Amino acid sequence: MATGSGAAAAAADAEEKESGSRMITLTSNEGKAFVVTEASARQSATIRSMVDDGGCVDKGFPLPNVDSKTLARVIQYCDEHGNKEAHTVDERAALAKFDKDFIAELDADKAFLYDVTMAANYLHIQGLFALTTQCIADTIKGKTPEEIRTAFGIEYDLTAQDEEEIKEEDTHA
Amino acid sequence: MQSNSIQSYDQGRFNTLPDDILLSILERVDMRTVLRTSVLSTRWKHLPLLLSDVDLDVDEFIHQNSSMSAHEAMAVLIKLMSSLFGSPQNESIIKKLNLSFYLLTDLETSLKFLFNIGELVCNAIDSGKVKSVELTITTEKRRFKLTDLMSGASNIWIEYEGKELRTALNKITKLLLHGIYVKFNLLWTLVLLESAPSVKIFGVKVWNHSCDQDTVDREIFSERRNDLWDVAQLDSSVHYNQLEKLNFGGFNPTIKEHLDLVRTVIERAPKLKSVFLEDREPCKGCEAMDNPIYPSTISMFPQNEDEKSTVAKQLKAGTSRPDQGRFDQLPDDILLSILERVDMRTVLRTSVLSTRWKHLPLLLSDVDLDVDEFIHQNSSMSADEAMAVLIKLICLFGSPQSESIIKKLSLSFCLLTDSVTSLTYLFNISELVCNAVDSGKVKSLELAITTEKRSIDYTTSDMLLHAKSLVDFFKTSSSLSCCLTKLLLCTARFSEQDLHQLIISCDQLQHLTLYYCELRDSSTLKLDMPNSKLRFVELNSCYVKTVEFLCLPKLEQLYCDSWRLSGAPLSFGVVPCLEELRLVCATSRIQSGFKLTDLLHGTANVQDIALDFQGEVVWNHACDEGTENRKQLSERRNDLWDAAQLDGSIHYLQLERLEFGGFNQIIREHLDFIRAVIERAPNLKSVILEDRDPCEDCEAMDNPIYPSISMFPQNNDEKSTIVKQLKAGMNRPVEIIFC
Repeated sequence: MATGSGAAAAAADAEEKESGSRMITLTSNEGKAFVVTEASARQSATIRSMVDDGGCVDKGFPLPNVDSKTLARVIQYCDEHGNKEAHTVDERAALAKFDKDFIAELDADKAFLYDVTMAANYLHIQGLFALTTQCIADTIKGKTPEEIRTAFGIEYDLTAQDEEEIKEEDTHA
Repeated sequence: MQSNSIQSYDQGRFNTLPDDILLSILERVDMRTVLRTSVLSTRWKHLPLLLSDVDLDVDEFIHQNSSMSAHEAMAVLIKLMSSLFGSPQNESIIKKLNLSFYLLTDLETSLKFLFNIGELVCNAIDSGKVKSVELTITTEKRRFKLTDLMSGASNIWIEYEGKELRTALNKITKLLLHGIYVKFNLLWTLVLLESAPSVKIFGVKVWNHSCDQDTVDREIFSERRNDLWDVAQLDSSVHYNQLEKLNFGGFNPTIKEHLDLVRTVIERAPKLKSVFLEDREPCKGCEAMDNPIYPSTISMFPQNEDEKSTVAKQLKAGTSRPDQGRFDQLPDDILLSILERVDMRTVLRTSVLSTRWKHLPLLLSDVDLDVDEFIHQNSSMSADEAMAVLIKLICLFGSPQSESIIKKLSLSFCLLTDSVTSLTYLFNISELVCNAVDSGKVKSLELAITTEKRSIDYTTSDMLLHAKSLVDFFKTSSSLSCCLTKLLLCTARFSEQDLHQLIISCDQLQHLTLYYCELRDSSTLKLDMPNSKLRFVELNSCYVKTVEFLCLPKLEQLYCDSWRLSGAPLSFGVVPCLEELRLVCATSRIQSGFKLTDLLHGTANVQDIALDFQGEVVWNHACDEGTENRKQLSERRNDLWDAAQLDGSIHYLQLERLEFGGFNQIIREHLDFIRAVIERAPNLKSVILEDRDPCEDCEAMDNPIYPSISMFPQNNDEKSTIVKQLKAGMNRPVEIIFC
């Protein structure tokens, strides 16, 4: 065993760990600060580009569109996906299970699901956005218009003329 | 030593157990299994006749997709009854007889069977052979299910009797309320449940048929509201102390009353062990009424694991209602990414939600129009009508009025049997799509052109006609070639030149599938396309001598399935990117083999090869045994490949995952094979076991008494037994996964 190369590898390892574990502060619109690893923060394309542009890593990033409760939940997702490896079958399965539980919990609280979807969109967290929109999509699949209106809280505002058109299209088809 | 470990799961000396123990074992399996054991040996032949608990259910004989009619199943049931308890020479006593059978639609037969059963049962009771009887009499067509426990109720509406019911229902252990109209509040059923304190099994089935709405039939039933049955009367302190099982048929998780009923029962039944939720039964009448664009009859039953776990959570989460979302407040772009994740029929349905939603579908950047979506199972819509709907939709989405851009348009449509109509539609589509492409509205296009009937139903002249239609279609649609990225063609017989020209003309094509395509003289198709962008090619059931991939610089994946001529179906020239090659074929007698090395000549970078012999390894279709089909497949024993040749010292060092399809727990070779792999692959992490694919032909052949049902482990007990057998003597953490 060559001690020299071993030491170098260890150093490189440490350096990588260093940059991976560099901490970043995210501030919610209520002024609450959340300290996360850079790997976790980089799940967000918005923050990633700010970091890469040499932005104010030390000063932290204010997120005026995200409240504390939502940010905490979003960070939970980013930590899992940013800090953990997903190379082996098992690791990927663990991550998939995390996603499943994560979204099932959100699905039980539709108001919160809404907030997290908006935050994922704003922060450009692709995986999380896909997860939440898929979840909402699943809730409207195969439902009647009336059921979708209820599920989405949509106010019925079609005019009599619109209804007439729709009926006509129906009979065509 | 190795063979020892393979045989280490012991055979058991169960046959030496005394009769009474064997009988209590038999009482724990279903009647079909019991009957199957009667062919094991002389001793086992008489064992079923000694059972003290006999459960005969006509539904057991009419299993899913089976070809057995209700009539035949009733006959089987009666035959069984007479052999099980009809013959008085047998001295054993049946303590409890559980009978479940049908009233048939044909009155005469129905009465004949009914009296037959009546006679058999009465004789058995009179002779003291049978001590107690439970009856469930249902109807063939599943309209209403009335049990004799509810005797006196000729209509499903029962007068309210208050506490007097208690005496009547006091001893009942099983209460089934079926055919409850969907719009009722279900909690009234609990009044009956309260009155029957000994009930262990409570079943509710909801009646929900749109085909029945507003018909005379419906009106006959009086308005079924009776305030005496009001939920307010329910005493929440009452507990269903004996209740162990709730069966709920026609469950729909989007109906609040359903969730409420299940939750209430869960809350009040401290001994409840299980809740069974069933989808409503399919109804052709409803399907026929269905509007293809806004269908109302789609099952709302949870389809996948995710949906199921959501429902389970809702049910167990106490009585809190699922909350409404504010999703309507989401911005357009997010709503669009949600719409992109649902099927086109749901998308179209959302367009009637409100003024805002009316225009949303037209802003989609990915549009997927598939004619099959409109011809759903049992629907009355013909392929012709569905094509007309599809064209209307292409017109709607492709219209240049709306300014949005469609990044990807996926079209899937079919060639109709009527060639005149078919051509009209084809040119119609060609014109619409070309206009949309020319105007810049559509950026990329995917086409799947299938046929109305199944491929094998077409003759050679049909296929020639298809090819001509397709060639004409592509000739008139010249603007397509610049944006066509994915193409599937089906059931056509081309000249070599035509097919070649067609493929070459689509110079942006990345993904090509040919299904049941032929070349007129079974000649060779040469693909020499240095500028081609093709990354994926699939050839399925094609009648082509050889496809020569002379130059396809971007080709990564190649699947070749069921080639039909002798010799190697493929050959390779310059395919530097080819990584994955899949060959699936059952060779017929007329085919000669070929050497894999010859075929692979010229492919340096292939990493994944999958070979499937369709029957050599794990082919298990009873319908295939001894048929022409089977004989055509040559005897696939090749001594060179013999297992004796296996070198026990060779280890599969890189192997991480073993997938085994068609696993059958009672076939010794399957267990042996898996154990052998586990032993030799030190890095193996997971073994994935799959059941064989269901086969309707096998089902149809099935003998109702000794059926060849799936031997795949069904429950956790069976699974853990298998895991134990497979891993015995092994201390590595190999995961066994059952799919």
